[in-house]
Amino acid sequence: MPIDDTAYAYAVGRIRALEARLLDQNRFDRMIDASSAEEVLKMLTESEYASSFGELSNIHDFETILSSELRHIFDLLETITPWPELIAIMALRYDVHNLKVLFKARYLDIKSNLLIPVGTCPTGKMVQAVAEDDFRDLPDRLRIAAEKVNEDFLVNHDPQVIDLILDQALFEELISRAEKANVPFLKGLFIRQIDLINLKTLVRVKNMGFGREFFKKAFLPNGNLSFDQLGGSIDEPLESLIVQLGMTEYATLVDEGIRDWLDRGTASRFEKLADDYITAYLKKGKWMPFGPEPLIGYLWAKEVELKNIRLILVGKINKLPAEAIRERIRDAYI
Amino acid sequence: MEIRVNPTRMELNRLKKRLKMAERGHKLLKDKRDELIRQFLILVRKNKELREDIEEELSGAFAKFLLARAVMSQDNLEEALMYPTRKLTLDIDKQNIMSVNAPKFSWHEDSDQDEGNSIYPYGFAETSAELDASIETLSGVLSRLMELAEVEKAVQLLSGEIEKTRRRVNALEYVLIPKLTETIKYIAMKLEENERGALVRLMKIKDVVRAKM
Amino acid sequence: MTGLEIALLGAALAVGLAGIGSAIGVGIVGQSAAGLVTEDPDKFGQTLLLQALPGTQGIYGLLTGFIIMQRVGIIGETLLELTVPEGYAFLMAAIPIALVGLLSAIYQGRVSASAVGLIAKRPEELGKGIVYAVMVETYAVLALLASIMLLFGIPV
Repeated sequence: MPIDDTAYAYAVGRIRALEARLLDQNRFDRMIDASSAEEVLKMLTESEYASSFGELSNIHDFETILSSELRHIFDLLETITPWPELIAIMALRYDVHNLKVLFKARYLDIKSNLLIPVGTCPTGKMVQAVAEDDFRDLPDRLRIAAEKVNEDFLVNHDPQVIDLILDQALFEELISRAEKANVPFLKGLFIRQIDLINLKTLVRVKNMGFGREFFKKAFLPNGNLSFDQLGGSIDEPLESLIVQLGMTEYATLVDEGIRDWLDRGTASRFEKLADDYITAYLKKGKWMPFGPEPLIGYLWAKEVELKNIRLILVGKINKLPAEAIRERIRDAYI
Repeated sequence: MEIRVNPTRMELNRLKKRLKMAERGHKLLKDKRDELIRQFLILVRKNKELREDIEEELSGAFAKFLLARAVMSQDNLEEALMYPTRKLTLDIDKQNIMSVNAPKFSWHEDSDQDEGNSIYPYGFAETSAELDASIETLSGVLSRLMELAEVEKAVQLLSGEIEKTRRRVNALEYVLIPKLTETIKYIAMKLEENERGALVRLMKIKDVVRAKM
Repeated sequence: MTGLEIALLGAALAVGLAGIGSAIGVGIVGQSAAGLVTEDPDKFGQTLLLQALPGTQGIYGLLTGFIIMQRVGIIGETLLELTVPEGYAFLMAAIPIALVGLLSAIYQGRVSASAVGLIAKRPEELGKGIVYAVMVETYAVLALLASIMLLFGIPV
């Protein structure tokens, strides 16, 4: 991180203007109440997304717009950030996505068009790296993970393990990069993401009927909640987990989200609350006049916004009831 | 009905034999038809049950899948499901239902998948938990889906066979048998007439002979 | 060093440090404003107002410098022959505005830059943003006051 936080003055000034154009809860509510997908589309063309959604000829192609919007946000942040490493860190997720896609495509012997052109490593280079088993250009942890994937798949042929290994490597890399950059806010974000993913994984693994050993394979280290803390709950009713986490910062989230999951058998509430939890955390850094916090927050805000738009469009195209959409809509950042 | 036969006793016997055969065939075909229909009804009932079951489960799974789709980006979702955890090999055999060759499916999972692997082909960090439930349902429904396909094909083939048999029964009952009966009647009449003619002729001859004496 | 030289060092510090502070402050607000105006060119006028705020410390420093120059006779006909303690007195008198000017201008710049963020969302609240920035100004004014009083109190 640059020593002088005022280096962010320009970036933050620009983010302030962009933040003001994020879609708010009100607008999402109106879109949910729209009678058809076309009406939602019309509302979008009256918003910040006018130019991109205005060109959409077939409503079913909305995904291409969402991914080009994502690409656009990364481009923008890359040009305004005084600290390029920040964007590189935030883009690592997409590198890992691309790695997963390429590995699976290779084992299936197919070509895939699922690459997301946002990662730090250009997709062309990534394709070559996987094709030639040459991961020198990747960060160390990812390189080691990629080699491990290769070894494991030849023996076990389990596609799930590809994801598990790479996810673990990703979050370890994220934590270590945030530490190296000495940005506690960023590290705090990743720690919370890790904890929330681990909590979710715990319940999922339990529902799938797997035990502690499997959970260990899927567990992401470096969170505030350790494996010892969570692993024990796998053989016990989730009620005890809710009690056990009652003293942590996730108390309300777990109490509401996991209880709802147990009652209704769907993780929708939990997942929404988990995303909202991250949003609330990032909001704390929103008004930092200088520093990377508003940039991180804006990126997340945009990702959540795209998620909400996708949810509404998919919901409207498939005529889901408004309630099903509303209960899943993530809180807006503004 | 135009009947062009030689009204001879030999012909009559031949026709009578044919009629008997036709009647026996008719009875057999009718029995076959009834049995086919019975089998058909059993299969249809099974088909209906299976179908309703599966449709309910599938529509549930699709609804869940849709929701998972709604909260995950397309790229993430497709990446998650890109590599199938299960590979099936399907063998098709014949099975004989009332001499109808219906397919018989048998399937087994390919062995390059290890036993311990889960049915979920994706990791947890980037996927929605709502996906799990739909994958689980879909995975459980697979074998019954095959069964349904098998039953449905059998039902289809049976209904074709029933149709064919019914046409044959009808042809025998309404065309061949009445025609044969009529022809037999005609020949019998003709023969009787000939007989009467011969009798009259004999009587006449008798009269002439008696007058001359 | 002669007394005069020490007094002039005071003037230089007053003008220089306060000026540096203002330059940094105005620079920060300028960057922030440029970011905002990139997305929203209509906000130019408002942001300019905010940018000007941290500039005052530089002016206060200059004013103090002028007073010293005038008191020691650089501006005027006769150059005073100052003793070393007298020179130090002028240097001391310059320190409040030099230090407070430097720091308050930087902090005022930061507040103003935040106010740029504020008007990005709520342009109608420009006044409040200015009030926040002006609160920092208070201390620069107090320092200026102290420096001037000290300068006029030096018996030469």
